[in-house]
Amino acid sequence: MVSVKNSEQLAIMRKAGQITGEAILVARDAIREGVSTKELDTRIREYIEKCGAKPTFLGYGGFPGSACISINDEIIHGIPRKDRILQEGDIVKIDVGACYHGFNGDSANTFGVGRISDEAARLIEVTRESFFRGVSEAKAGNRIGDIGSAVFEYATSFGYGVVRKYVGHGVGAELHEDPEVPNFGTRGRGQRLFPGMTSAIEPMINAGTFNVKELSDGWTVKTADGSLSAHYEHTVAITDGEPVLLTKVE
Amino acid sequence: MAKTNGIGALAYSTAGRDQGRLFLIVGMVDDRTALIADGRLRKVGTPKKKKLKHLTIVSESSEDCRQRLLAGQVTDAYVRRTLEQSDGLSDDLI
Repeated sequence: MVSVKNSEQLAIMRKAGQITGEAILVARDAIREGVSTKELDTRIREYIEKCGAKPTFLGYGGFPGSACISINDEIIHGIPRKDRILQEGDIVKIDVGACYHGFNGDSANTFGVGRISDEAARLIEVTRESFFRGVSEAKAGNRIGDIGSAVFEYATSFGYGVVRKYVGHGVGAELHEDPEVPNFGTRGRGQRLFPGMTSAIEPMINAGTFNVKELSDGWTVKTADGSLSAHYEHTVAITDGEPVLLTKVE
Repeated sequence: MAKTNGIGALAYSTAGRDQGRLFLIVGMVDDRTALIADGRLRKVGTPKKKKLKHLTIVSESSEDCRQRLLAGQVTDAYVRRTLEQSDGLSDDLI
């Protein structure tokens, strides 16, 4: 069921979003060669708890970390591990959720470790831009398909693969709410957008094909062809005017 | 954390005796397991339980199809028609 939030609930979600966004910046500042993904996860958890919130992902469906940290060809849901050490040239995807007073924020970003290849930098930039193309369609009266098709058209114009097996989603009291927000679709189709809806728009873009494979750990999702992948996500509130990025830190 | 694409999507089976065949996802058991039907061997009334890791999703959930499934208004004929309309869809991508 699609839920619409009132202004009071949106204010709480804004706070949850700020904590989420800031936790990602805490991790970003700690990224360097030789750091383990577990260490980044610990910093994220400590920051979220210091702010009086709870890491949403910890224990969600049995997930063992506070953040999903995925490297290079890992697309999403990477499990933080002590023996997973960042190397120069890696690209790291950090996906964080924080629950504050019963409402969630969900956000992700991709960062480079040290100097990264031009190819990787371009993929990250295209992923980020595809998100903003999608958000520009996230207006009351438009439909879910408008968001997906904007993301899809932009990313595929560079020859990249847009992941289909995993999609964005509504966010609120639950981490995953309706409607699903795919990064593909047909303009003018799908759920109509109303003011007060809050959704996580999250393009997952592969340098190769869109096919994915899940690892035996039950969580980590990789590109099937071993190509690099980037991820960019914000929790977005639909308003009467321009959409508001609840997890964006000014 | 991304959500697994669900009800109403078209997917190819990538493992098991039905490998390579196109199905409609008619329900979700949990975040990792789907219920699939093709309207022929696997009917809407007795769908196959299949892990999502053994499926490759090739098409979005159509809103019409999704609403029908949620309302319990999907027949085997509807599933067959939906699959036929998408026949050949991304065949090169399996």
